[in-house]
Amino acid sequence: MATKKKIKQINLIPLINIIFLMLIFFMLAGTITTIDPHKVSVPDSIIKNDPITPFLTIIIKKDGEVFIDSKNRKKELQKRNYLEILRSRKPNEVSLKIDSQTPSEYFLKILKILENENIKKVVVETNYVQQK
Amino acid sequence: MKTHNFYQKEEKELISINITPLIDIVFLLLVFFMLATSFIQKSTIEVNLSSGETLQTEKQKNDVILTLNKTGQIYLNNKLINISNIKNEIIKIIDNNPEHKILIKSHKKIAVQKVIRLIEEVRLAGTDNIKLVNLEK
Repeated sequence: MATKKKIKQINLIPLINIIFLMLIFFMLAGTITTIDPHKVSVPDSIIKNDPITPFLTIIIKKDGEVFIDSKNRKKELQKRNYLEILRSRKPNEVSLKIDSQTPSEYFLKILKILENENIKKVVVETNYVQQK
Repeated sequence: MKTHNFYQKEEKELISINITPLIDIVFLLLVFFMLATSFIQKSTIEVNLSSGETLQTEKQKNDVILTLNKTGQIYLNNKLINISNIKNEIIKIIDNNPEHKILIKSHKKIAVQKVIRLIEEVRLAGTDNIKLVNLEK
């Protein structure tokens, strides 16, 4: 009878140990992702710089659609809307969240607008990829 | 005799703790963190604002022109070059004259990813003196 009882009991302690270790690893090593409503896949970068939290973020999708602070301001690059927002907020630095497949003409148009508005610093958000 | 038995039973019950709810919660937490976390490292690249839609200023004598055409080929001063060689070539040019301005002329339809990659190669060569322009044709 005693041997039967011993067989029925499974030692769960090693399993719990491993699960705890995995839990601690995922909690410490990863960062919680947020859902991007615009589905912008930012370009890869081989230089690692610390990400900044800018006052204003301009999102440019690959079809040239532009959003400021998650609000759709225009379908195409209409300069007037941009100027209104930029002038009202007067940011010193602006972050560009641009899709990696966006044609460069849209990128340069935005840079020109920002230059004309005397923005001091523009950074492009990227994903750091280690060079092979 | 009776009391002795009672205490023995109580001792046995105290030793066995039901850990199944604990494992359930830990499993749930583990699944949540496995699905919700990402290991992508965010980075940023600063862009000079002396950029323009088309080349408005005349090319100066010291300017180095990097051209990125529609097919993604890169030309350094009209010579076809591989992206892996750009850094070394620009280092050589800068060593001769640190005042060189790097002009990146990209085709209008070329993806931003390729322009960013080119900017980074120039930065790795040790210069920040970059101007971005669109190819006129």
